[in-house]
Amino acid sequence: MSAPSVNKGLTFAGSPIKLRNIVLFFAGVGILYLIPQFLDGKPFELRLLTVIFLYAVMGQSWNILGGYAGQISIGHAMFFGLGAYTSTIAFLNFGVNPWIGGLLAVAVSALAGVLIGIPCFRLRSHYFVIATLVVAESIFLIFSEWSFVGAAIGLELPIRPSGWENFQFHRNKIPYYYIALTMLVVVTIFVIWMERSKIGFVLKGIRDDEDAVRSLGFSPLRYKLIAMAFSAGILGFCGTFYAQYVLLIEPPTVLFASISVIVALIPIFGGIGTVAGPIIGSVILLTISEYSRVHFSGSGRNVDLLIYGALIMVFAAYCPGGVMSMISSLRARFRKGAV
Amino acid sequence: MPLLETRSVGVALGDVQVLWNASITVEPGEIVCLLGPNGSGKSTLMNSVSRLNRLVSGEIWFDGTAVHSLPPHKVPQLGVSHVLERHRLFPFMTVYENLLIGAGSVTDPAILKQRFERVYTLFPRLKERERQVANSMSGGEQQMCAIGRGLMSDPKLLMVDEPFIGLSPKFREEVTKTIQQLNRDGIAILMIEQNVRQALALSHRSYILKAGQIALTGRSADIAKSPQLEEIFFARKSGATTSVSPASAAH
Repeated sequence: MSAPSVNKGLTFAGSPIKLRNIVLFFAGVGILYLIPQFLDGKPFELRLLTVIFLYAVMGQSWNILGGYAGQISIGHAMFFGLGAYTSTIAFLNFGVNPWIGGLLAVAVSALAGVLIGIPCFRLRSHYFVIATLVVAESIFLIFSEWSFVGAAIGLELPIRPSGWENFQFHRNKIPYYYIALTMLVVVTIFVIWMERSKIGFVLKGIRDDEDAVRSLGFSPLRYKLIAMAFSAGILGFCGTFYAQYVLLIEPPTVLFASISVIVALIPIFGGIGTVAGPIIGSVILLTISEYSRVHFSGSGRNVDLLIYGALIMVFAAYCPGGVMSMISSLRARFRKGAV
Repeated sequence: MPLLETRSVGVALGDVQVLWNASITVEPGEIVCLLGPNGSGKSTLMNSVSRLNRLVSGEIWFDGTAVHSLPPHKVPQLGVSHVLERHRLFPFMTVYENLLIGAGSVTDPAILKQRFERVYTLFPRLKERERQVANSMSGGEQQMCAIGRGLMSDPKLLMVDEPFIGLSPKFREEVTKTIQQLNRDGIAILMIEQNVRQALALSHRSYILKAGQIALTGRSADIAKSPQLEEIFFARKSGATTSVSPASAAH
């Protein structure tokens, strides 16, 4: 290998993205856009893929704060729920189009993230985790009692004619698939950009050594708040998508702690602080949960949670870096064997 | 006017005060050393300059700016660079990335290029290891990288906390030469060191701390000859040893 020159593009990216990877990425995306053609009359598979994309996006957004900046949150359901409620309330009370409602949801969730972040980021490691959990739980309780947001009954979205302008599709759910996939593509590209930008490097620096970052002239709080705003904002739009997909939101389905846990679990399982991690995590975990739900039907409703529990224990013991670290260590071994 | 001046600085870590009334100055072009036994407050004093801890009293002035009223992330922008104890590199970033993050808010490619070249001229080895992850290098190389990272912000004052810790004699010599070179280039240096003889030989002036207070100060050459030096480090009066020597015990 030749000695590298003083650096080419002067970006934070250590090396440019390989052309091969760019081609593979867009080829993969292209195939995913074609898949619905073959899913006619297969609503289960269509739903599975849509939900996988949705949770992959949620995992990506959690990963910005938890994986890159190292600020583990077990309260991200609040941003998802706030997004769902924002667009729904805007529609029910003011007739705001759900697409614009989605943008409002991004703004409200990002703002909430920053407001919650200012006090919570004074805490470090597990104290921060507990703070996020408590804040999310309080919001859950408030929304369960507050009649303006439907209290425990929740809010039902009125059925509007199917169509892109209404963000509602009834007989044919394929557009939801396209929306979720597009969200995933956009967010993934955003995360790839962020990972290689200065913001990404400062965030990783905060994860590794916050005092060193501070001594180099960066304000850790400011960068954590940026990460929080990105993370919460993306989840806000996911909330809107969920509301438009299911057309019913209630505190237990959009604000409950189990959502916070799965959103954190997906990237942790797939590979924390990696771009592919949340996608891999979402594919594996949601496939398990959706199939187990069908297989065990009513009696086995929570079998997926049992399987998750077992998987977490196995991974925590043997592969704490998640699937991605397993892949890279296998690759390293393979390469060594080949020489 | 001194480049850096701390006036009667007192620092508390949590509820415990660990530094009292510390007044030091660093003039432009000087190498100043902070010496003292473990726990005497050397790092605390240095950290107070980069605002990593809380002052309970005193003022810190750098180049006419009141540092004591600034948030920590503003301090490097004044021209103060702090290489923390045990180098504190970002272990999973490459050498290149560690250096780049050291440049702080600078984004102008021409300036960045210049600063990279300066660091690579000083430490050609870092250029060889540019794409290597920081924690895959030896301790000496990591220390070089940390000093390089500190230089990327083009400081007027470089503060180095224990640059020689854990280094082989060969690397010690190399780091010593680097510090002298930087000083010749016009950067003032404030450093902390455990090896008293070596530090006194390298620096122009020294402050010796003991139990959170400055116990002795002066030109390093004078301190090296001072009888008080031994007293501070070994807590014994010079000339009058309290221990019984084997020779007298035999009588």
